[in-house]
Amino acid sequence: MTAPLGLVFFPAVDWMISETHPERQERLIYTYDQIVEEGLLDLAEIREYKPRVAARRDIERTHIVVPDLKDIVTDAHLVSAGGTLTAADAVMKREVKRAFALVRPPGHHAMRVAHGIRGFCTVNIEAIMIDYLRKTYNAGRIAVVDTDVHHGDGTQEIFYHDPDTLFISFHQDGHTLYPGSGFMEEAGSPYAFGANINLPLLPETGDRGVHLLFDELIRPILDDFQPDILINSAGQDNHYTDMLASMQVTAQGYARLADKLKADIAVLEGGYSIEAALPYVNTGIVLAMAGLDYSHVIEPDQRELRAEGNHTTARVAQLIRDGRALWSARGKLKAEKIAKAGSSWTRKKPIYYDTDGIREMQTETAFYCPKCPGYLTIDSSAWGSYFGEQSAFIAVVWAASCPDCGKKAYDAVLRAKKQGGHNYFFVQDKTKDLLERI
Amino acid sequence: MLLGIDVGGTFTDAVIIENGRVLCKAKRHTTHGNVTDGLLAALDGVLENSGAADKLKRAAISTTLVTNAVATGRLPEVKIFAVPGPGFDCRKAFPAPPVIVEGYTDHRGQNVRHAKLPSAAGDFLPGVPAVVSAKFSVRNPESELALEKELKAHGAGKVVTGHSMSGLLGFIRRTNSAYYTAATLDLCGGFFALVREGLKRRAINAPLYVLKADGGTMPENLAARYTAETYFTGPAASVMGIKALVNPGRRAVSLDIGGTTTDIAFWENSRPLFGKRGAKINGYPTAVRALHLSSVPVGGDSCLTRTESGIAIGPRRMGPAMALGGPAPTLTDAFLLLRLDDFGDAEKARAAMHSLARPGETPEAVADEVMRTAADKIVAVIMEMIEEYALEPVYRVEDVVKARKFAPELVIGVGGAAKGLVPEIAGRLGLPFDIPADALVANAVGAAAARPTILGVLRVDTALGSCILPQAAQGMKIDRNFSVREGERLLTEWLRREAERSGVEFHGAETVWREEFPVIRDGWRSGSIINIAMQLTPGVFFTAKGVGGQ
Repeated sequence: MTAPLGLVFFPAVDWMISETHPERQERLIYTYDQIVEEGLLDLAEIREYKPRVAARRDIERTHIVVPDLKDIVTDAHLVSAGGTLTAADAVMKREVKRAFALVRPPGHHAMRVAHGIRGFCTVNIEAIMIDYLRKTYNAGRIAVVDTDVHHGDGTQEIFYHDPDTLFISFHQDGHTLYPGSGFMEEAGSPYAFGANINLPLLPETGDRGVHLLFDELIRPILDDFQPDILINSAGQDNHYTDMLASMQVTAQGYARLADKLKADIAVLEGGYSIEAALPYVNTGIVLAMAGLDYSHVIEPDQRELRAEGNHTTARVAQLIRDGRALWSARGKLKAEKIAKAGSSWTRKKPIYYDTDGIREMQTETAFYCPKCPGYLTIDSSAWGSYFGEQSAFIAVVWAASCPDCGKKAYDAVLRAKKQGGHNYFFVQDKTKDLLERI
Repeated sequence: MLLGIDVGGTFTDAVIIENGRVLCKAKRHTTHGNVTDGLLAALDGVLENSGAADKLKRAAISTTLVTNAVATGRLPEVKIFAVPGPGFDCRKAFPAPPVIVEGYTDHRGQNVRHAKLPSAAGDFLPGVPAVVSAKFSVRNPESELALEKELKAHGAGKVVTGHSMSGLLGFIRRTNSAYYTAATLDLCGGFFALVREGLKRRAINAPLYVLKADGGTMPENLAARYTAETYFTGPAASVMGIKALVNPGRRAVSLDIGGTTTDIAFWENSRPLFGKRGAKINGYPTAVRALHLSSVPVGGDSCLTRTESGIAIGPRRMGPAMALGGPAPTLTDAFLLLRLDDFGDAEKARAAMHSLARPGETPEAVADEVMRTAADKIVAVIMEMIEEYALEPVYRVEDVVKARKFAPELVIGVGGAAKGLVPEIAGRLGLPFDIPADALVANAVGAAAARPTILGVLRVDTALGSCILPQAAQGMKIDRNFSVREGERLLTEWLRREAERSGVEFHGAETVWREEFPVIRDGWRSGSIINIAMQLTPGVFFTAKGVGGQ
């Protein structure tokens, strides 16, 4: 029998970044208490899954960890990444209609190259799941709606060149919150232009604003894109009690959003109001995704909840206008960008790892090819890592890259190695599903 | 000397144990109209051989009384008063529709809104048993206690509270436990009185104990209060019988192959494995702690039918084997023909197998096929259980990463049809097997041998300065430095008092689990949360030495 919801619940009660860090053992124990006390795991509509342990190959399909996976990726990361794969399998094998990976540690700030932990994230568990879905189930069009209060900059970065992965993130404006990015101009590299949509909201936006944005912009875009698989990066820190951010969304707001969105797979991201928000928001999302009544899930204490002001609503209206304009003009804009780029497109990115205090400088170049999606090279140098200063030169061969581009990618890395100046050399070859050290 | 009684659906068994040996045993038919008759017959069977009535130290009984009452649906009306607060809509989660009471206690046990009985609630109450159950009452039972008082003032019959059922989280489970308890209080009270009366008539004055679903026992006075715990005790009795008769030190699978079903249990470190959350009663999840068991509808009396693809076994039972005068071919007929069993009319058994034969097929070939089919069915369920056990969710990184599959090293068989089937099953699994002598009365042996168990849960929140023992509705103020060790000492003391209060000899307590989380607020450690569960060390009074085995 296909259950309405598969729940991969993994609170990792023996894992923390450090004793007082928001990512500590305590984070999901109140949620665990609430879920068990409510009896959600006993409901016929919900099938609980034990997360599996992700394999090295699953992580390296997405990431290049410098110097090596075992240096920064812990068992906890393998289990939380594995939890998303378990959720994906349950849905793709039709054991359940949808799935929710209620797991930690989170991942949406982790980028393709990882020198350490940033934004509490080491590996990007959603991106790992998406790459797994593509590899294992040949998934075509995938859409991600990131409802965490922080811009999902890691997920954006990893799929910035992929026109088949639509990434939509609404979040508190980067001028007022980590990681500082996530503006509408960041719309994708030329070949994937328009497949990355950022919707920065003003602080104090609440249920009304978020639902208006969803109904008027996100829903129509999703309907137009028609994803084969819809994923929710289900961060919960837009909640009015979250101490790291300043939004006003309630458990009802989140549950109704989950109900409208009807994601195939949801993956927990951030959310650090561990007592006043998470127990209720998670109960709401679980019930909504299982098709059960969630109308009684109301925080017992709503004293901190304030009415939404006109300025937040005005920003929402502006985003709806700009977002519609971007979406409808994306074809034309994409053609212009490609024409302007010519045979390659380069971006330089400073990346700061706030959790670990690492600074990274990257030059990423997408090489275009008339026959295929081309290939990518990344020149990465990091300061302040566990190993001090370290650098890597990397090429990425896309799954659909032609043999010529594959060869060019390897040649680029070999050339860099010959020149010296980097510590490590990798080719992430998606045609072989392999990360090779050169 | 210990007396064990098992009142089963078909037979009432009694055994007397002395120095770890089955001194005498008797098997009589259960008398359904008046259970005492069958009980007395079985008692007479063991007493006449031993004359031991005054030497008995304890009488323990395992009964399907609650199981049968639930199965037949003959339960009295029970009113449920539920205080769910915000969250899942629980109105359809219980065996009877609840009266929803306003109020809320949050996950840390803070009473956010006091519970208040609706004004009309008293109208239908007088004499009716009631259940009071509030979400998070195990973190703070205040609202349940207040409502209990109010209901009694309104003239309610007996009131059963959720927090008294279990100290564990699971509001719906506690409510259902309380419901089935409230619904069977009178029934069990009456039954225990009858049993006591029967014992008295045979001059047995030893204290009476009742078997629980977790394989422990409880004294009559507790059993009369926690009646739902006596649900599903048949398989638990046999598991404790196996513990007494075999005490498997290795990882093992035990099979109790009875008349209509085979009950399968797993063993590790001489202990049966437990189910993760609690038994289901009539499809409703409860807080009744139970062993990790599966039941397959394959037993000696399962009737056989020829199908296109082979032979179907059970699930129906039409009567005893044809070899014993029954109406239809059964598994036992097949065993008899294969000389795996030795009582009954072999010719009738042959005829039974012949009736299932395809043209040209010998009765022996049919018996062979029957045996293989039965073994296949049971082995398939064992494999499924191993898979399920491996997939049981865990919440610690270490438990996921270090998980190993359960790999049995021994097969143990008890019950009437064990001799016929267990060697074949063990062969399939490539494992040695053990069928103890007295395997036929394992249930009664289990009842006689099982030690009393009581599980206690302690919740400590040093940040709030609170420490609570929910089952006792006992709270106390503690300071920031309260430790796990102190918690264990407190809980051990409570278990000792509980044991003494109910006349149980205290022989030590053990920690079932303990966890501690630092509570961090505003970047500082403001205290810790400690959860501890401890129990009276479970087990059996004796393990047979030199008895049984092969």
